[in-house]
Order: sequence, then C-alpha cells, then structure tokens
Amino acid sequence: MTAADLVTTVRNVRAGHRTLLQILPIYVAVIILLMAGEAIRGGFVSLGNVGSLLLLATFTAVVSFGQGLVILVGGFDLSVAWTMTMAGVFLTSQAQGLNARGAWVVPLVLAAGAAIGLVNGLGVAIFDIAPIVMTLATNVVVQGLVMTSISGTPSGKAPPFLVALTNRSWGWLPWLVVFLACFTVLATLFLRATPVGRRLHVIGYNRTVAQLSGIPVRRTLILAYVLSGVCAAIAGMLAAGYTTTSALTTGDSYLLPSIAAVVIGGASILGGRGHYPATVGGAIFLTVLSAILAAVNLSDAVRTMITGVVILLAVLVIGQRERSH
Amino acid sequence: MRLRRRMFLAVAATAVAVGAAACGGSAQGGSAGSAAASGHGKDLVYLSMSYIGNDWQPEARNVIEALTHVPPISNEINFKITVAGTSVDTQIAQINQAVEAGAKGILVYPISPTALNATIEKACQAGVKVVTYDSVVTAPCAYGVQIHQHYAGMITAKWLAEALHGHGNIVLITGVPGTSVDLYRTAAAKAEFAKFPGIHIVASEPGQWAQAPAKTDMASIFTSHPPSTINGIWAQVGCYAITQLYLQKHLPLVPCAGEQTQGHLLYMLPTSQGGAGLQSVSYSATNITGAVALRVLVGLLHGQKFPHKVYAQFRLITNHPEPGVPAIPLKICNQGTPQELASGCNVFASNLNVPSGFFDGVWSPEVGLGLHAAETGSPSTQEVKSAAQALKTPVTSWQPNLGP
Amino acid sequence: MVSLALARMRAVPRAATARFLAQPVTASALLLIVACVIYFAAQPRALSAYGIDNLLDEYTALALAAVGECFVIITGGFDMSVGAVMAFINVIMAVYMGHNATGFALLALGIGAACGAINGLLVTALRIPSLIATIAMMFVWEGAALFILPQPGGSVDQGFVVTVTGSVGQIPTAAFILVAAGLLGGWVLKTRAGGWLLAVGASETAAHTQGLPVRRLKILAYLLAGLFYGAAGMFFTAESGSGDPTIGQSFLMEAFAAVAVGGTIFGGGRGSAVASILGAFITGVINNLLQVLGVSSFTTPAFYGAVLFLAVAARSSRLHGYLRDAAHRLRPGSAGAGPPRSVGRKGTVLIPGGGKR
Repeated sequence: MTAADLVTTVRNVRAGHRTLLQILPIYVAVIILLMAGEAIRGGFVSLGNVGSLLLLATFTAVVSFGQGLVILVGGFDLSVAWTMTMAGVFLTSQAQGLNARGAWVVPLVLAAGAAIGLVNGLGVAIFDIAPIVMTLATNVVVQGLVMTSISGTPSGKAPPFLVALTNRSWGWLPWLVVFLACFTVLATLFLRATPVGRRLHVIGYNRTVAQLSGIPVRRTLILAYVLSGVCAAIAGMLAAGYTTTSALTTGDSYLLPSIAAVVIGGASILGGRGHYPATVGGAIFLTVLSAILAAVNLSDAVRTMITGVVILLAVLVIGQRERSH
Repeated sequence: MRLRRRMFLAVAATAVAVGAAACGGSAQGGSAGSAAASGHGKDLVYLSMSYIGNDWQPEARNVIEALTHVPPISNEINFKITVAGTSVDTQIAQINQAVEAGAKGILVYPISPTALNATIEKACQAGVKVVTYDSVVTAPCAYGVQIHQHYAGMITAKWLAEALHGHGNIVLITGVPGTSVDLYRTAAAKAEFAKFPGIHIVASEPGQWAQAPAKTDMASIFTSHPPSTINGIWAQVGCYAITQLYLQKHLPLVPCAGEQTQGHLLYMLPTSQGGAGLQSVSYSATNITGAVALRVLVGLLHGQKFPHKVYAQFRLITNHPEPGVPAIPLKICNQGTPQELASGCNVFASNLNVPSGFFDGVWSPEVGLGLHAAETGSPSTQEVKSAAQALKTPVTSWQPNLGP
Repeated sequence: MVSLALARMRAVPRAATARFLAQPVTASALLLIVACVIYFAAQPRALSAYGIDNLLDEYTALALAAVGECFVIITGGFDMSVGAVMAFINVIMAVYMGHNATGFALLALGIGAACGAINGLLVTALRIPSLIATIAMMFVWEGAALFILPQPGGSVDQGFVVTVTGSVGQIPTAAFILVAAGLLGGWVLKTRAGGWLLAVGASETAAHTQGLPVRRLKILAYLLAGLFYGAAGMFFTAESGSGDPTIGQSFLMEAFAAVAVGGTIFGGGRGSAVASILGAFITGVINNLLQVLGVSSFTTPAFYGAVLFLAVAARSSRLHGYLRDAAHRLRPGSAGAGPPRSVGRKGTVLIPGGGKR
C-alpha cells in the first residue's frame, strides 16, 4: 500500500457519514419488526432472544457478503448453494470430529470454495458467459461431484472448535455474533476503504468506464467470484459446526435468502451500489421475519405467502429501484 | 469461418462429453437395452429413488441392495438403481426408461404420490410390476409397502400426552410440507392431542425430516416461546438435534417423541451409560420397507398374490412406558449382527461409530439383515445366511391396533 | 485433415451460410440431432412410437415453460416464478376442474397471463428489479398453491388427460402443441413488437431514446411468458393427472438451462422461442441418455452442468475471437494477426448506466 493508497483509505473512511444514511433504513425496518414481534408475543425482545436471532442470521450474512460482491459487479452467484453444502460435507467427512484434522481440513475447504469461485470468474470474465448461466452450471457440477464422492450420504462430525464457536456464548452474547461483528467490520473496510473494494464499485457502476480508466477489470471480476466461493465455504462450515453434522440440503435453503438480503439491504441489483452493513441488516430482517412467523400459528401456506409479500414491501420501501431512464 | 467453427465446437464438445460419459459410466452401466429381460435370463428390476438430503434414502437403498445379493434373489434378478433427485420430470423419465429397457419390475420411492400415476399406469399396462416403499402413490395398479403413517402419528402423540400427564405446552416439528406422509402423521397426531384438553400446541414448524432444520426451527421458536414454557416436543425427525440444542444451552430436557436415529437413541440412554437420560418414544423399522417391497416385487414376479397395501412391521422403543402404548425397551447392540438385532437390541454401541443421523431400524424378521448391510449396501457372510433364512418366511402385512 | 476440410469450406459463400448457422435455432437443432442420434443408438427402443411418445410427454411442459422464460430473458430480465406459477395452475385445475376441461384449459392460460402481468407491473410500474420481484412472487404463488391443495391429490378430467397426452392419428398431441408454441413464439418475435422486445433487451436506454414504449413492452414480455407458463402448467396437469403443490421447484432451474442451451443470450437482445424448445429437449435427451449409458445418478448433474457450460461457452463470441486469432497465427505464411480483438456484445459505444443485470 502506497502513501496515496493510505490517503484514499482514510478519506474513504471519513466519508462514512453519508453511508450511514443509506444503511439506516434496513435497521429501522428490523426494529419495526422486533416491535411487531414484541406486540405479538411479549418478551420477544430480550437480550437472549436478540442474541439467538443474530446467531441464526450469521449464516445468511456471511454468504450474502460474497453474493453481494458478485451483485456489486453486476452478476449473480447461484453456485453458493452447493458450495456451502460441499463445505459442510467435506468438513465433517474429513475432520471426523477432531480438531487436529480440522486444522488442515478447514484451509482445504476454503481453497475448494475459492476454486469454485475461480471457475465461475473465468467463465464470466474470460468467456463472457452470463453469470446466471455460469453459476447455475457450476452449482450443478459441484452437486454431482459432491454426491458422487460421498455416494449420497454425508457422514462425520465437525471439529469441536467450530462446534464451540457456533454454539457457545458469553451469557446472552453468542460467540458467533462476535464473529459476525468482526466479519462485518473487516468486510466493510475491504469494500469501502481498500483500492480493490473501490474498483469493484466502479466496475459495477459502469464497466466500460472502468475499462477505460485502466482498472484490471477481468482480474477484479474473478476476485469477486472467488471471494463469493470462499464466503459460501465459510458459511457452510459454520452451519455444519452449528449442527455438528452436515446435510445435503443446507446450501439450497440459503441461496434465495442470500440474494434477498443483499437486495433488501439496499444494494442495486444492476451493480455499483451496496453497503455490507445494510446487507447484514437484510439478513437479520429475514431471520426476525421468519421467527415472528413461527410465533404466529399460521399454516405453512400462509407463511410462505406472507414472506413473499413482505419481501416485496421491503424492497419497495428500502431497496434500490431500477434506475429510471 | 468463425461461425462454422462455432458449430463444429458445439457439436464436438457435446460428442466428447457424451463419449466421456459412456466410457466413465459406472460399473452398473453398459447398454441397459441388451439385458435379457424375459424367460431364462435374470429378471431386470429397477430401483427408482429420489433423495431428500437425509440419511434415510441411501440407507434404505443399501438394505435393498444388500438383499439383492442374497440367494435366491441374487440368482433371479438383475438389479439397477436410478436416482431422480427432487425432480418429478426426471423420475417420470427414469421410470419410462426402465420400462423401455425391458424391466420386469420397478421399485419406486415416489417423489409425488400423484404426478407419477400416468407413467405408472403405462408401466402396468406394459406388464411391469410397480411397488413403492414408504411413500405411496394413488395409482391403483401399484403396490405399496409402508409403515402405518396414521398409527405412527397417533401413537407417538398419545405417548407424549400421557408422559406429560395430559397437561402442557408442546411444539410440533413436522416433515416436508405438501407430502402425504407428513400430512397423515401430523393430522393423526393433532387428532390425538385434541383428546387431551390440557395439552396445547404452541408452535409448529416444518423440519424437513432432517436434523439441521429441526435445530434451527427450535432455536427460532425459543425466541417467541421461552424454553421454560415448553413441556414436550413431537418431532417427526429431529429429537437428536433438538436435544443437542437443549444440552448446549444447559436447559433441562423435556420429553421428545419422534422417529429414531442413532443419536436420538443414544440420548435416551441413562447418563451412567453415556446418554442424556432423554425421556422419549421413537419408532423404528422404517428403513426396511424398501427391502420388504423388494420381497413383494419378487413374489409378484413369481405369481404370488399380495394386497395392494402392505404394512411393514412397526416397533416403538421407549425408556418411559405409558399405558396404551405398546413399546419395547432400549437395548444396546454391541455388534449389530442380525442375530443380536433379532434378540431385541435397538441402539448401536457408541464404539461402532454409527453416525448420529443414522436410522437404526435396519432389521426385521422378513429381511434378516444387519448393520453392515445398511451401512455398506452389501451383506456380510453372516448377514447372507440370516437373510437367506428370513427369505423363507412369508411376508405379512402388520395390522396396528388403532384403538377406539 | 481438418484444415483441408476448412479450406474446402472457405470456397462456399460465407456471409449467407454464416448467418444461417449463427441462428440459435440452427445450432440447437444440430445439437439436438446429434444428441438424439447417440441416444437412439444407445437405446433402440427409445426410437419406437412408445419411446417418442414418452419423450414428448416428459419434456413438453419444460419446453413450454422455457419459451415463456425466454421472452423475459430477451428483454433482459429474469423470471424466477415460472415453477411456482405452474404449480399454482396445476393445483387449481386439479381441485376445481371437475369435467369442464375446455373451460379450465382456457382459464389456465388466463391465470398464467395474469400472473405474468403482475410480474410485469411490479417490474415496470413499481420498478422492482425483476430477480427479486419474481422471487417474491414465487413465494406468493407457492404459498397459494399449498393453500389450495395442502397435499398432493385432486382429480383431473380423464378426457382432458387422454386428449392432451394422446395422439391425433399417429402423431402425439404434444407434437402439435410444440409446433403451435414454436410458431406462435417465433412469429411474435418476428413482428414489429417482437423486434422492439429484442431492442429493449439489447439496450433499454437506446430503446427509450428511440421512443419505444419500454414499459408496455416489458409488461407484454412478462404477460407472454405467463401465457406460456399457463400452457406448461396445463400440460403438466394432463401428464400427471393430478395436483401437487410442490412440483414447481425443479422446473425453475431446468427452464433456465433449457433457455441457455437453446442459445438465448442472458442479458437480453437476442433469443429464439423455437431454440428454447429445442434447448429443453436437448437437456432432456441428454438426461435420458446418461441414464441409458448407466452413468451413476449421483454423477449425472455434473455431466448436465458440463453440457450446459459447453453449450453456452461454444457460443461465446469472445472464445471465437481467441480461437480465430490463434488459428491466424498458426496458419502458414500469415502476417501478424494484430492484437487480439475481444468481441463484446454491446460494442464500444459508451452507454451511461449500462451494466449487466
């Protein structure tokens, strides 16, 4: 990092107050939801509950960072689904519940996630394949590879340090929530304050301008997908740690929430705009919503419909609309 | 020129991919169409599976596959397996394929009770015998082996209500919404709970028949129903992960009723034996429905007659007996051999390293296999002997006592 | 060997042939023929009336869904609600149809179009990005389907089933349906409005500047899509003979794959309804073929994904740029080929706000 880079970084961090205005709406929505929850069931808003909700939101929040990066540069990553599942399955089957093994398995899993992201990035950046198609293909290929390697049955246990990280707490504050806080700070700094992060924004806003200003567009695009794969791998390992064993359906249930969290949080789906703290807010919003729906004794059918409507409302009120022409 | 190359590339690429598939096809492969499908050769039998991402499906498949290695079945049938995933279209295509390939019989775990009907009817008209296991289809020509889902839901609910002495708040963790298995069990449970006015169902979430969603559901439910207000849990699948959650949060355990998995049964052992002392009832013997279905299919190919609905044996295991709920006690299996299982053991010793999500109902008198078969798909020598014996006994449909 | 053939081919007038082969339809048709040849070779019984009938029944619903999805993708959007709308229509027909087959067949089309119109309004009037709007509507229709029919069941008029899945003379009805869909979809894109749809997809800003009614065109695209989803749901109802609220999920990804294999460009501006139908059958035949070859069902998705990738990558114009430049350099006696040119889709015109959606 040169002196100029350092100056840029400091200047970016100082510009934060404008960013706050863009992050605030989703958290206001979260508070409104929490109040609604309290009205429906007294005692909903307690320290312990908030801790639990934040814990449950962490998995989505981590995947959503990677998904958000890809959306920032104008694409989508549908392969987070089986990348997450791969991470959990690979972790438990190789670590077999031992920390010593976990020490080398975890980096390997991260590398696998990065490799999947690399394949996606190459397809999108070099071959100019539409992201939705490329990541769809990768998702299915990873599915085939994972299923074949385990013959359809996940086995083993997550290493104890991950189980502890995801399940233990200091009183009402789960360790995983502390992890989420640190992750959010680091991720936001990366996006806002580093030159690489700025490049991602510019590429998303207008790729041609980015190209003309000499930004290495292809390399940065690939980096976005690689990071998305790594985030999905992290989230998959955390999810496996939480339940100690891995499952084949893990990733599928986080795909749509990862996209929804990014959009509800206010990122523009066309790319170029987005703040990770708002995405985290989006993940929390979705988690609180599903907890409230669980509290009300409605049928699955009605709950699903309400989820759809609330997502629409949230996007309408908070999210970015398509740019008008 | 460039565009011609585009054509050439696309065509060549596909040919290469397909050629690679042909060479890389599994050992079961080769041209399915060349199998001798009638008369003197072995009968071609297909297994059409779906997977719903838990341990149940591959285990059931292993037991079926193991049984195909046991004489006389091993001498009579040529066995092939297809997996459709969650796509209805794919399963329809695979069943059609099986018929085109000349199959005499098809075992099916149907993804949908109704969407396959037209395809199954076509198969029946072509003279193919179709037998489903665990989940059913409404096509009249198909045979189905299942546990009595209504009874399962009813009797476990009865146990829970009685264990709570007729008073308390309970949580329901159901299966996959929109499936008939889930609906029958849940409806039966709710009807039973309704007979106890002091019992209140305070929350209900779909657990997808998997441990991880059950755990996150429960954690989510805790945010609106503090653990101290919950007295009992009825979980189609999930008592293991939910108990784990309770233990991790240092909460006192509450009674849990559900389908057994190894982890669940281990928790039921007293703390002195390495368990958690969880009060519970769990039902077993669901894994062997596929193998029983295979026996029914083979019998049909021999011309035997069976009712269209065959109910597999159903066992309840509990460490807390309640009146009106016929159940057997927990008993540790030290080796997992068929002989041991026949003597009534039902939970595998922890040194056998059976995964926590493993479904322990791997033995029944008509199937006679053990742990090794369920874990690997091929029977040990011991298991072959006991299964061969079991094949000599007839398959009967088990009738539950549905009470007043 | 290859260079000799290529040299011979050089003699043929390039422009017309090139344009012909460049059509997604032609490429897809070739792919489909190759796939079918290999499939029928591996499984001769599939070439029978029974086999062809099966094939058509298995993948017509997907083909119709793909045509619908294609319209949305051509205008640069995504429609994630395809499966849910199909499931919704499926359960409505299974529960309420009774013996009123014709009435409900028309109703299916109508409901599909209405669902599509709602998507269109969300995207244009409320300016919600299409991906998230259709994800939200997917939840709504899924929930509605579960609400109307909590468990699989219902009943479908037998006459309807027989008519739709049967044959007219020797030819399966599905074939007629597919031809009609292809003709209709292809015709729409050839009309002036169709051309405008493609223009909107290619560059919304440019279309706007030219005075095209962008909003109305987008609503039209979603409405057409919904119409075809209605047809797909109707066909699926006849094929399965019953209602099942959860059948939608598998159609979603398969529809996208079918459209991609068919050669429609994601991002908008170029596509073909007929090619999407062919794409659906290509993926279907390959699925069947993999099973016939005995490929482990666990591995099948990997091959499916690889084929999807290859089918799309082979059409990548940037790839051709690289290969052509490589070929130039390899050709004996050629002068320097110059710096590699990357052929982007949108050229080098500066369009403010242009980004992939």
